[in-house]
Parts: sequence; C-alpha cells; structure tokens
Amino acid sequence: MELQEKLRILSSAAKYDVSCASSGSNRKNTPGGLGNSAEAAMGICHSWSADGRCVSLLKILYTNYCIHDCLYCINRRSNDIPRASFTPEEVTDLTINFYRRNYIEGLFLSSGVIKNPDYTMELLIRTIKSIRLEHNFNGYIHLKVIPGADRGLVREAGFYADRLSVNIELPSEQGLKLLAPGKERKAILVPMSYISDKISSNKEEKKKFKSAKSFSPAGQSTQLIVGATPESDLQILKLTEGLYNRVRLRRVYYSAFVPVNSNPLLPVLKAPPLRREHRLYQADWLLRFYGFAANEILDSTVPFLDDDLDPKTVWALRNLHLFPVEINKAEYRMLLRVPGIGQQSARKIITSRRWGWLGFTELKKLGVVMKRARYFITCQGSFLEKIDNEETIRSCLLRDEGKKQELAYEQLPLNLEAGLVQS
Amino acid sequence: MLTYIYDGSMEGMFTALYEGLFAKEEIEAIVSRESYMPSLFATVKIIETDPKKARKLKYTLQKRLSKQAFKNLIYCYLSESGMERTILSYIKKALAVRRKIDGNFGDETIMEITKTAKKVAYEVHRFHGFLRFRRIYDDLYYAPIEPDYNILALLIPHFRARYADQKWFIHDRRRKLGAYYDGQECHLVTLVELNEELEASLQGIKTGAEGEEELFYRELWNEYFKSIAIAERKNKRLQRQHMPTRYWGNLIEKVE
Repeated sequence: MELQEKLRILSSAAKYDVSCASSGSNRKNTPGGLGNSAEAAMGICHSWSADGRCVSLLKILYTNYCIHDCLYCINRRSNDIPRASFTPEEVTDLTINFYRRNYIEGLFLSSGVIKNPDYTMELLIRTIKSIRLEHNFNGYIHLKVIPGADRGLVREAGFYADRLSVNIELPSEQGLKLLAPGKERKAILVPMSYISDKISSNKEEKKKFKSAKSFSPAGQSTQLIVGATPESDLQILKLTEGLYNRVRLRRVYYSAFVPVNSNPLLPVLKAPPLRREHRLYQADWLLRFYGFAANEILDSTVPFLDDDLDPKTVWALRNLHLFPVEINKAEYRMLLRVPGIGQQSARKIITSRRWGWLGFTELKKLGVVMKRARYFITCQGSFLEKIDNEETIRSCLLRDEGKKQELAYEQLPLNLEAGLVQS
Repeated sequence: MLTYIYDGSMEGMFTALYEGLFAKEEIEAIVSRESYMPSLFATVKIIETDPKKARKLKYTLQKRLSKQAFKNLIYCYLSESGMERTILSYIKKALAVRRKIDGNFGDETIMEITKTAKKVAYEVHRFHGFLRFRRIYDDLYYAPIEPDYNILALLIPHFRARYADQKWFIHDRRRKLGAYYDGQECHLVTLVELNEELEASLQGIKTGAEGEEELFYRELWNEYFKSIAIAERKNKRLQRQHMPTRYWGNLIEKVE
C-alpha cells in the first residue's frame, strides 16, 4: 500500500482523539539536532482544519487493526473498513520531513491494539526511539499508552515522549462495561497513577541531578467521550476534579460523541452534543484557573450545565448574595468569579487600580465584557444597572447572548456516512 | 502645529522622539517620510537621523522602563501603524514619574501601546505556526510570508533555535526583506527579489527548483490536512476566525 493511502486511513482513524496541545514541555534543541519544544504559555498551531480544530501535531494511529470491539469506536474489530499499519521508518520519515517544513510541532502517536498491549506498546516505543535517537529529534511527541501494557514499557516510553496519556474513554465504569467490553477501568487507572507518581518523582530527581532524564515533561492528559452514556455533567466534573487534584493531570479532554457506528446500545443523536462539550470545557476552565470546585458549579439538584448561559454566569445568578463586587476593592479571587471578567482583565484591574479609581469606561477598555459584568459589579459604589432579581438578569443576559449563540452553534445536519473512513 | 518627519528607520524614530522630548512647541504628529501626507495647515520639520541622540534616548529608556515596556515600544514601531506620536506621549508619561507605569491600564496611552504591542506579538506567534518552508535547490528551505506587521526580525530567534541544522530563508514578500540562515549565522537582507524560476514555482508551476521529494511531502501534507477534519463537526467560521483568509496564500495546504 502506498504511503499516501496509509496516511489517509491512519490519520482519519486518529482524528477522534481531540488532544492537540503541544505546550508545556521543556525540551531544548541539542547541537546538531533538530527542533525543540520549548516551554511556552501558548502552544503553536500550524493550521486549522475544516472543523475549526487546531492542527499542531501529526496525529496518526500506528495501526487501525484492533483486537477490541468497542461500540463507539470507528476502528472496532467488527467494522468492515480499510485497515493499514505504518512501519516505524514510515512514521519517522513523515514526522521529520513534515517538521523540517514547519508543518507541525511534532508527533501524536496512538494505535489500535494488535496481538496484545505489550506487543503494540513495543512497536510504538521502537518508533519514537528511532525518531529521538537516530534523528536527534527534539520536537514534541505525545504518545498514547496502551492500557494493559507492562509497567516497564510505560516507564521506557516516558523517557522519550513529552506527554503520555491514557484515555479514560467513558465517564463511568458501567459505561465502559457496556460499550467497551474488552477494556477494564482498572487497566486504565493503574497506568495513569503510575505515570503520575513517576512524573512527580522525576521532578524531585531533576532538582537534585540536573542531568537526570525528563520523564513525560509535559505531563499527562486523558480524554473521555461525552453523550454516549447517560452520566450527568456533575458526575463528569467530579471525575475531572479528581483527575486534576489526585492524579495531577494537565488536561482532561472532552469529545462530543460522534455516532460512527449504529448499535441498539448507542444513543441516537441528531448531531454531536457540541454545545454540551463546550460547556464542559468552560466548567473545566473554572476548575483549573478560576478556583472553583465541582460542587459549586453543579449539585444533585442541578446535575447538568445550563444550555443557554455559561457556567460562571449560572453560578453567579445562584449566588446573587455575594454580589455586587466593588471593582476597586475586591480581591483577585472574587474578581475572577465575576461573569465577564477573565484572568487577564482581573490582573489588569489589580495593577491599574493602584493608580486611581477605575470606572466603567476604563473597565471596558481593559477587556471586561460589560454586557455580562454590568449586573454584578459596582465602581466606586455605583451600579451601571441595578437589578437584583435573578430572573430579570437572566432574561436580560439571554436577550444579549441570543443572537450570538445562534451563529456560534450553527450545526450542520449529521451525515452518518461521512464519519466512516472512506475506502 | 508641528509635524516631524523622519526617515522611517528605528534610529530615525528615536531621534525624532528625542527631539520631541525637548521641543517647546506642541507636536502634532511624527511620521516616516514614506507615510507622510502633505497638509495645508501643518508646519513640517525634517528630522536628521542622529545615532548619538537615538542611542542616548534608548539607553535612558532601557534604564527607566521595565523590560516589557521597552519591548512594547519597539513592537509598536514595528507595527508600522502610525504609533510614533503615542510612543512620545508614553515616554513623557514614563519619564515624569519614578514608578514603572506599565500596570496602569486605566490610562489611554498605556492601554493603546500595550494593545498594539500585543497585536504584533500575536502575529509573531501566529507565524511561528503559519510559516511553511519549501525545500528548493537541494538544501535550502525557503518560506514566503506576508505579515501585516514588520515581524521578520522577531521571527528569527524561534526558527534559529528550532532549525539550527538546516539552511533557511524567510522572505517577507510585502516588504522585500529576507532573513537568511546559512547553518551558522543569520543575515538580514533588504530589497529581495525572486528569480523567475522561483516566482513561477510559487505560482504552482513545476520548474525543477523543487525536487520530486518536496512535491511528494507537500501532497502528503495536503492529504493529511483533508483527512484530519471531522465532517460532522464542520465549522468553517471557526476555522476562518483562527486562520484569516489573508494568511492562506503562502500556506502549502489548500484551505477552502
């Protein structure tokens, strides 16, 4: 099979993995070497595909042959689709040549499981080792860990990859049992916590010995499918919170369920739940950067995120007793909780108010979204618009947001065939 | 009302700013020779570039401003968007007090400088990604760009660190500027023109400047770019928002 054909099959098969981050590593170029993945706040995006997702890495499967038969997966054993496998040389060649032309930041390598997890993992390691050692490649490598692979292999992989990830696949164990009969929750969680421990002990080691090799320096991430199983957003956020706090993951990715197979056990959807995915990402940001806890955002009486308003605004509406916030006095922590104020504008408010009182005109220039913030703040004690009724604020906000959202969430009719790999 | 006209160089601008700080009259505008539009009411003063004055002012600014604030001024100059007069206001404000003023975003001048500098920095960041090398004449990696701002010099450190072992040439087609890295050092060149062969090959004509291998990887990249999109999630608006059409021309992938 020609390389082009393989690339088509194996990149198309990998596209449902949403992670594409390439930031947060610290690999510098070496003399005579190629590339770097230097630490930066923002990862570099090289292009944007037709679905509006960033293209940063060469994202491919090593092979789309698989011994598993997961119901939601395009590559499940029982699907009749064209199959292909790369060789380590082919992956190396593609990565290096794409990288030299500045098409990509590096490689994202995942794989279907062939023979058994160990065998597959060995192939993946052989590939990234060749890229690193034979080609002196210092660009970014994200490697998917195959659940069930030997611990020693996971350990070895971590020394060549910038980021390791194990997909948690579905938010609950029941979901996994139902849709991925070959996979066990334990086989996913065990390597996850092993990698987490390894990363933190490696950090300690690096403090003592500068020459110690980095282990997965850009940390660990995971991905789960939203909307294939009936879990609530509360359950998902609780899980996420645990993954951030206890397993110290860098990122949890949410992937709106795209029904690529039909099966009575799978829900029938008109379109992938993109809005829900979007709200989960917003809530995720609240957990990571805004100091929120999962049970502040949702509780058992309201287990799902609001469709029409973002989670921070919804939280503020439920906690109107904490508002208004006086812009010229409030702490950073509280500023962050005001709808329409992000991290950047909160920081700017803090530094600017040292020079004098801030008014509404200044706030607008600082980048505060006044349309949302106006109901929740005062400047030197005065309101821009004083409404203290939850319902009224809500309807005002909806009126303002309404128009924008209609456009932003425009969804095209779902075409089932299009999800399958073209033959 | 007085308008200063300088030669367009960074040195020239700093000379004009230096003069501006000591001028008795109110200065209406500071413009480069190229962007000057004659007007009936303005009195014009031509500023001769004086490296000594420029150096003096730069030295003072580097001492008195934060590193970031000084960088912002340079970025504003490179934005080529008529920021000179605002820069003068900024410098006056900064030198008037002993405190570092960059945190005062309530001030319009400071906000404007910060915003413009951010735009330039963002374009630099974008071009770290949007720039595409084409392998020509065996071992030279050539990349044409047409950025909004004059960011070529700001791109060099990134590409130098990343592609230290290959020869490359980044060409700002709009400004006819080039950065050539020969594997050891980087040289800035002006008045860059392409020969016919390269010009033709940029138009998609096969001239032999690019080998078979180059065309092979280009095709692979296009294949990849197409197949990575999820049809059910198609969102052209989002794609365009992140990657405005004005940048498409110099990419390899065919964005539609």
